[in-house]
Amino acid sequence: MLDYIVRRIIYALITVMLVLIATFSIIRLLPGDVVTLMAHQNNYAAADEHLLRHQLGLDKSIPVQFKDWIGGVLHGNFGRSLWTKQTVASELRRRFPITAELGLMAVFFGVVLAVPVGILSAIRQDTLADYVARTAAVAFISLPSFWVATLILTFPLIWWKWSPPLTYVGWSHPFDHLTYYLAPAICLATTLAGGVMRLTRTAMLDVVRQDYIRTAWSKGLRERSVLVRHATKNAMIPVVTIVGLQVALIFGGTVILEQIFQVPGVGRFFYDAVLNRDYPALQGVVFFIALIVVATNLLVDLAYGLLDPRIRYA
Amino acid sequence: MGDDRSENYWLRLANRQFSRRRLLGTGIGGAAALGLAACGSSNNNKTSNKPAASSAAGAASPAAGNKAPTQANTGGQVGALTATVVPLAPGANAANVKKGGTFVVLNGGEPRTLDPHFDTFPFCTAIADNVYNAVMKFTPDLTKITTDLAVAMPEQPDDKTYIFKLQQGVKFQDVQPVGPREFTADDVKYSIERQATNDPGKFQHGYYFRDKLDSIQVVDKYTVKFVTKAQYAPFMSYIASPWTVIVPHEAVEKFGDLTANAIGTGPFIFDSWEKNVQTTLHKNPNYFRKDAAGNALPYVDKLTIKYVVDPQAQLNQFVQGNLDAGALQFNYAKQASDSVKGANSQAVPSQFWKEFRTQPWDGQKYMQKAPYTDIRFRQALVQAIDKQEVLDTVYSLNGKGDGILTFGPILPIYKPWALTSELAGFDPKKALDMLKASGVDPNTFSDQIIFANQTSIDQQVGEVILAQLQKNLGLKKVSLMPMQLAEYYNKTYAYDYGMSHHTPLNSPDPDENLSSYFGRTSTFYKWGNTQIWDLIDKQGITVDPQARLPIVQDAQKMIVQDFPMAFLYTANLHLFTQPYVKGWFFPQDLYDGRVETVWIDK
Repeated sequence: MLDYIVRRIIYALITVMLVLIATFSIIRLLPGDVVTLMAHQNNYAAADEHLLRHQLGLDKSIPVQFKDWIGGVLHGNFGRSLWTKQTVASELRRRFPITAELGLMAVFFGVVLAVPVGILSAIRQDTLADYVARTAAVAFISLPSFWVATLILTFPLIWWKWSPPLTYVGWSHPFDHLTYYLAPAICLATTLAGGVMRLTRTAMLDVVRQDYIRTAWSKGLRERSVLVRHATKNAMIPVVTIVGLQVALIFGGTVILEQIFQVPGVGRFFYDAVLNRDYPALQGVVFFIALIVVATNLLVDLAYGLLDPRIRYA
Repeated sequence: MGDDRSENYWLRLANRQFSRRRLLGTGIGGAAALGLAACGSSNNNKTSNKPAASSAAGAASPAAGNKAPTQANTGGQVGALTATVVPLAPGANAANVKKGGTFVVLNGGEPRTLDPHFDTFPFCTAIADNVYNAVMKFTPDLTKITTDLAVAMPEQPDDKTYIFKLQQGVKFQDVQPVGPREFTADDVKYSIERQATNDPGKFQHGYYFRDKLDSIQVVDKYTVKFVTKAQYAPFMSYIASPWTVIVPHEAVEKFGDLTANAIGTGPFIFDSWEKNVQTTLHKNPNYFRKDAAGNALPYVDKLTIKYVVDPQAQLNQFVQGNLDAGALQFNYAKQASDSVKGANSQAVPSQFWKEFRTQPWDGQKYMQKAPYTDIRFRQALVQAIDKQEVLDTVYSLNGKGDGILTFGPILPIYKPWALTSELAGFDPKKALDMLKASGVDPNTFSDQIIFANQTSIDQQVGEVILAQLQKNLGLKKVSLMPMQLAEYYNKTYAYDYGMSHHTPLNSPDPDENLSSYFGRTSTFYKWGNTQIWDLIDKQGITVDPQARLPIVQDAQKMIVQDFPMAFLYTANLHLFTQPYVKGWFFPQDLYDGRVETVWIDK
């Protein structure tokens, strides 16, 4: 098991390093230069551009810039926004809990909706309930969350003059705080729920056909005991894994949804950084998200290894 | 706003728990009394923010309250200790003013920093207008310059000297490290010199005064004298700009800059900036300006500036009552009016307008590429565009274009400077003739119209213009090239394009609209016609408005008839307030966001 853990950690570190290099270089390949953007918006004379480039440290060679940045990251310094001059770390500290909470609520809603329906769909295979559940799952996967979000903002306002709350409220007002998250979390949850619903159904169908389930039935166990204690527990292994791997998807989804629902999280920070070619901010956000995704994957791998010895020794 | 969130839930809960503990010791009756007392306390905290009915007693008549000190009628009171009298909004009666509450105003974007001298985004001014004062300021409709920290219009012993007498007894806000220090002429000198800095990276409004001033002299504590190097016609406009505000040197020295802090003499004290959410400010109890009835300003206790970028979300927030005022996108205006009964609204032409450009050039480093060098080809492009149709199609409100056309580089809202008639209007026959005369083959000519694709409206404008060029000139191989802003500026700054449609800012002084784009010192867009440069230079040193007017008009005519671009239109902003908002001056765009005279009548 130790070999397995060490191997996974080494792979994770290599992945992080590749992400660092890719992040750093891809951002600079984007058309549009931050210095030109600043120069235009600040009425600089063209001759002053090189001064600005020097001031921002962008006149150094790319490898030197990369070395400086890596050096900073290793010391916990993600740099400062080129526009606001605020540290990227402080922005991430402030914004990550907001996005994480949104993501957790989305996972919660997604799982609470998807798992029971997926199980029901499997144990009532080819019934009306199954057809409805499968159709819903495909619909959830097919409908883009930003489109659902737009509908949620538009139609209730027209019909009932009602809108989900759009002003972020902190934990100082817990009820308002949770209410604020409902709409974006549900939008984000739908896509997740569709996939998890289908996977749960498939896994469940696979498990209920296993010999040990037949044995459980033949022993005269009650349906509840067979399904919950024996079938569901085993069917959940791939589901748990997939939910863990959805972290990247959730972070991606927040970029647009945070715009629509005015959530002051990492997604909005990322979006603004892209538009403004704010290199340190962009690098910091992408690196941070990559770290979380890699760490989550690592944990999933390790947990999977613990749950299923066949993987551990593969 | 009714929903005042200043009282923390957990504190309320803690207070309630405290009451419950007391309940155990004192019995139900006592507890009930305590509970009532607690509620009463809570209520008292809320109602204490509301005005006593007598607060507006002794108010002057509405007519007196509406008398604005302007260039024409401001004078006297030099060095007076009395506060500046601020006019109320039209129709407002100082006797009915209610004090207290929170005013929540929408900002459709967010400032990058709070530094009024160096931030580029107009959204910064919503905060700066309320935290700082300038020496002079524009009236909300941008038609007049009035006093702010000055007590009168400046004395001008000659055409290059401006002597401002300043308010006495004005205190900076009681915030460290400045504290309630008195504002003096030294602060004016410091602020203007800071704004005019030559440091790289700090140029945004430096061009107002950099290399333009011979000296700034502090004559005495309350008198400051500016001497310009030459006659400088835009001087007063730039002194009254919302970006030329007075900042205390202690704040800059302590914080290094003003990117995240704001301390001034203005009506509101900066509390916090919660990025992507809101900025909160509270009333400056020592603010020096009063209304005509002698009431202290501002009327509201708190000001919240909410950042809501998405137009649909803006509408939702307004209809839900989470916003007291703000500008909504034109296509949401009807729904806002229908949904909020009694809402006040006004359509105001935006300072951000639309133009269709051909390739710029400076005559030295950057030259035009053919066929844009041919004036006949440029004329063909310009006169093939039906600006009314663009406006009617993209900004259709009740079947009509929601905005006004412009005939030159100065918008018609700036009278008397703007051109009032069309010199290069839509004429498809003429356009086609010019195209033929230029020898350009419409079947083979190929180029792109680039634009910054920030909203769906940008795409729609591009599509209508493209359709017109194809229909009226037969240009089959012209296409649209939407770009992200950074990429777009990369192209435009290098003059590396043939055609673009662009959204620049128009400002009250003609010089800012002429020099920045067509003048000798323009940078990111330049038109290399030296005859135009000479005229623009000339108007810039002609301080007599009567003598300056024909020069400004001639410069514009020369520009329009050189066909560098089609001057199209400016769309309307739809400014809304809730029915209970009183004393609101509908401002011209984001140029004047001061809300010292707003009150909440509910």
